[in-house]
Amino acid sequence: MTFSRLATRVSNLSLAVAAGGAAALAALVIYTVFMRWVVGQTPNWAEELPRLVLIWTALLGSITCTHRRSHLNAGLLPLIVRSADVRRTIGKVTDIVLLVMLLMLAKAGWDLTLVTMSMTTTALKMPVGFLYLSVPVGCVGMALMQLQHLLSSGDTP
Amino acid sequence: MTFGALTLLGVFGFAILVNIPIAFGLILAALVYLLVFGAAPMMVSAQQFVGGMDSFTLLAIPLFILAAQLMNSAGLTKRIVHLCMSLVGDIRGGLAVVAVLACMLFGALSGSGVADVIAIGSMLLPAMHKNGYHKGFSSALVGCASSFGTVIPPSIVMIVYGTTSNTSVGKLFMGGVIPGLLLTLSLIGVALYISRKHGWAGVKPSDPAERRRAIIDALPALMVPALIIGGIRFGVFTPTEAAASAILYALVLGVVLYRCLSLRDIIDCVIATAETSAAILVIIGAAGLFAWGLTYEQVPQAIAGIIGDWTNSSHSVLLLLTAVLLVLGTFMESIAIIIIVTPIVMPLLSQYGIDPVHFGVLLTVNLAIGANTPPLGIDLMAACRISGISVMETLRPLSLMLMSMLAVLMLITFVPDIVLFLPNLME
Repeated sequence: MTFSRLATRVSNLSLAVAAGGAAALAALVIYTVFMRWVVGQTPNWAEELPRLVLIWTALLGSITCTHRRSHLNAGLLPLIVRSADVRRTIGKVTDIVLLVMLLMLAKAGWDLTLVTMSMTTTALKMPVGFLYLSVPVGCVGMALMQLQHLLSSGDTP
Repeated sequence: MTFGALTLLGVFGFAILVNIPIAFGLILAALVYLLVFGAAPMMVSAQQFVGGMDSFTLLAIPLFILAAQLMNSAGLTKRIVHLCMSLVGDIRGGLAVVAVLACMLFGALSGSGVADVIAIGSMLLPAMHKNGYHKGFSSALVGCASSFGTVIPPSIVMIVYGTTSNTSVGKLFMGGVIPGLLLTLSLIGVALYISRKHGWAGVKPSDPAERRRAIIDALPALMVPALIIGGIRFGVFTPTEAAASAILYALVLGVVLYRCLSLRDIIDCVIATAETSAAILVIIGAAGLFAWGLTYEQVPQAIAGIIGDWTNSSHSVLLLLTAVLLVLGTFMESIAIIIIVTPIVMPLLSQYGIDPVHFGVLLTVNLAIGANTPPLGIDLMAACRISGISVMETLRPLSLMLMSMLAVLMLITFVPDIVLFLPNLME
């Protein structure tokens, strides 16, 4: 399998999980509304669990956004730099910078995960580290996509 | 301003110029700041990044996006356009009025300007061009009208502001109703003026039976704003729960009533929601980290001090903030602006006795104008993409439309009661 196909598969997989997360968010909040108004009982995880799912959904979905270059950007470069060659060079340099940045954030997230694994959340009594684990997982995934952009000869941002 | 603050702003500005995505530009600036100045351990970057997204209210964002996707797939957009067409489509310049009204009504379903442009623009822009409307005019019109989706509740931009400033999202939603209607009326005025000047015609008139059918057909779609605003107004739902209820309502309409929503359609909507929400939420997380850096460098206090020395008039402060927001809106994304600007201006609001609900609504109107101002007028760009024209072709009609929006902005700046009347009823 080529590196490009591996990146596409990782991107598709992360989007599928993120989509599952988005569906779960809707189901969890609808269930909470039902429990509150019909049964008269709000589950103790009503706030904590959806927030956890939201953060994982955002970071996994971001892997696909990085792969498809669908993160929002200002689009100012073509107005400032006319030469396509110069823009391509700038694009490659920014790909390297972003790769390093994502790996740094992944390391920071991993360190935080280890520190907070011994703490537990209020409602679910789950290690707080599971929340922060989304950062290294998401950032390594996004770094993989940046690496794929860097290695490909295709278009730059 | 400190060297640390200048580093944060400088790196971010440079990142934006070289086309680094906004979320990554914010993270990059914060990481460079932490590396150079060692203000805190690097772990803080991950903590602040997650902390920026860790809010129950923000759950409303993916939920409203999913609700809008489902409603669009269930054919509610078509029904809204058909209703507007049968009611006002036959007057001179009628298609332009239909475009504005349809965008306003769809804005009350979706909460996002770009979603409005795509849903309404793809349907109405080709029809307008076919009927002789100038492409630059119709694109500018749909771009401007769609941006009202951020002012008319539900509004994703208001959810972000409410979360960042700790202001009631329900009150912000109520505060957006009257300004949203005023913006709609002012744009209809401009649209009619330009259309009649050029003699752009309406469509074939509908007979009364056809109108009745269109009203009955669109009734379920028109119930959505009532469900959301009414639910929040009477304390039945929080905004997040209102969004979840809108999803359930869209599913019932699409699957049970209209029977046009297949499992494949629902899956496609969920997948699109995951990607769109991720792009927004990651900016929110990154902006949370960046805003932490600005707060650590005491930028809000420094700015409050500078402005405090300059004036003691709340109107002058609002005008200054408006000018800054309009400039920022021309090249920055709305959500990033809110998360960076809000912590900076909050001390100013309390210092000058400005109601945070009033400012929140002014902010959304400012950003609606920014969403149509080149070079990064995101709604305008989306409309131009659908029409297949460049932004430059819209400039003449666009300037008139922006002026009408600015007039409404000035009115609600100097008469806060227009904004605060409905939120005050909630107390």
